[in-house]
Amino acid sequence: MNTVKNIAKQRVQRLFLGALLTSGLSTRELLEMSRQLADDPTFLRDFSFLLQDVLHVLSPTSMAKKGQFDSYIHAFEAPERAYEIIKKRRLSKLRVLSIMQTVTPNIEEISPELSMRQIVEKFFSQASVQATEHFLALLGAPTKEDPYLRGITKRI
Amino acid sequence: MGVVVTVMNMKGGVGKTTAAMNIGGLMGTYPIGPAPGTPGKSRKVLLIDYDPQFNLSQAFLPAAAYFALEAKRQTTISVLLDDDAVLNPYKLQVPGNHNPPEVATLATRIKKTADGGVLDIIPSTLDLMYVALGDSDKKLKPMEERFEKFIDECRSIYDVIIIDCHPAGSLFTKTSLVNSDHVLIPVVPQRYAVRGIGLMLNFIEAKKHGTQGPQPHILFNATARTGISTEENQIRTNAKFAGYCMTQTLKRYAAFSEPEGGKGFVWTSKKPYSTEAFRNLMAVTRELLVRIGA
Repeated sequence: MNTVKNIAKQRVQRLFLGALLTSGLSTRELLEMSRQLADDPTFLRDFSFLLQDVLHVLSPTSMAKKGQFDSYIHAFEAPERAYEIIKKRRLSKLRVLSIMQTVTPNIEEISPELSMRQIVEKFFSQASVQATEHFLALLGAPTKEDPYLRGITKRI
Repeated sequence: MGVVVTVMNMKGGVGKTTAAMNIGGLMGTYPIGPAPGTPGKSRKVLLIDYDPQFNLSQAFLPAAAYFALEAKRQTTISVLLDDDAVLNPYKLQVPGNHNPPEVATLATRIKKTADGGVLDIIPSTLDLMYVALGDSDKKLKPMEERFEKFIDECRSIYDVIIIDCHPAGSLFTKTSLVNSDHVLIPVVPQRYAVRGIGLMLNFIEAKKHGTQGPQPHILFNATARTGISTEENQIRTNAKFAGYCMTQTLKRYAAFSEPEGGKGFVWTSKKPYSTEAFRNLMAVTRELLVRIGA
């Protein structure tokens, strides 16, 4: 049981670390954050609440009744959406990796030895939100139009 | 006579508009008494979006409705400039007419409650940026006079007027502060927040007319649900700032950031923690109403 817990903990830590390192924050900002995390006992508790909020929202009943939160959906559903499109279009791993490289040239290399699902999850855990949206757009995923943005860009 | 509150902080990203939309919206939606369990009174509330980014307007108005109002110049720009003013960022056209339009021609009704409560908004527009950037070799007195007259009329109609003010751009900050009774200063307890408060209070002092100036109220925003951060403690224990600090803080609930197009406000939300968020917002709003005497 302890081994299972440790593995899960390590996995979560790796995911956090990967997300932070590819977030675009500077080294100084990351160091400052690490100090604040050490000093702030409320951070983990707040994050726990946030995670519970998100999981509650994403439960099948909640989504049916209450609608979706774009940012939460993007974080948790987007990889699945991408995977479904890739399967439907029967894209090869090399093709998918090529698209990922186009979107984020500096992304840490993802091994083609991984399964397609693992490749997609690894990409989404590393890339920024903008990059993942760009990736989905390149895959041909339908995007929701922002009516305010449409009105603003009409002026350009 | 209505009370005017400017929501302002020169530091960006402190939740200025989030505070304005939630606090102002709640004031115009619920009868709020001075303490929990005491009889509340409904209020007539006007929100003035005085920021070219018009985020407050986006929170309350659906896009189609907003752009229709903007096309008719039913926005804050008409307070400062005449309808036919040509917007040139290189040469600001100072209006010859010192009289603004009537409030009723610019205010858009968001809701009216059964017990007489009202929530109206005057939306902003990107075109305000021309005013912010415009370089004029003439004095801006006519615009200042128009704004002052406009606010005077607002006071005769509404109980509370909340101005979500662009933090930079001397005309906006000057006209807003000079015509306000109070300034709500949202602060996110962060590394530079303490110095930012000092700068803000200096700024308010500098914009005073004689001894008359708006009363500052510091609202800690996006705070942890429990405990108090080092930065908040630093500000609260600073002798120069302590007296301005609100007791209640607006906590970090996702529900406060979600309103868009008139939907998603915490008082209609059924999301997790929305009840706690609502109670938190009510406590903050109640305290502010007591502080401003409304």
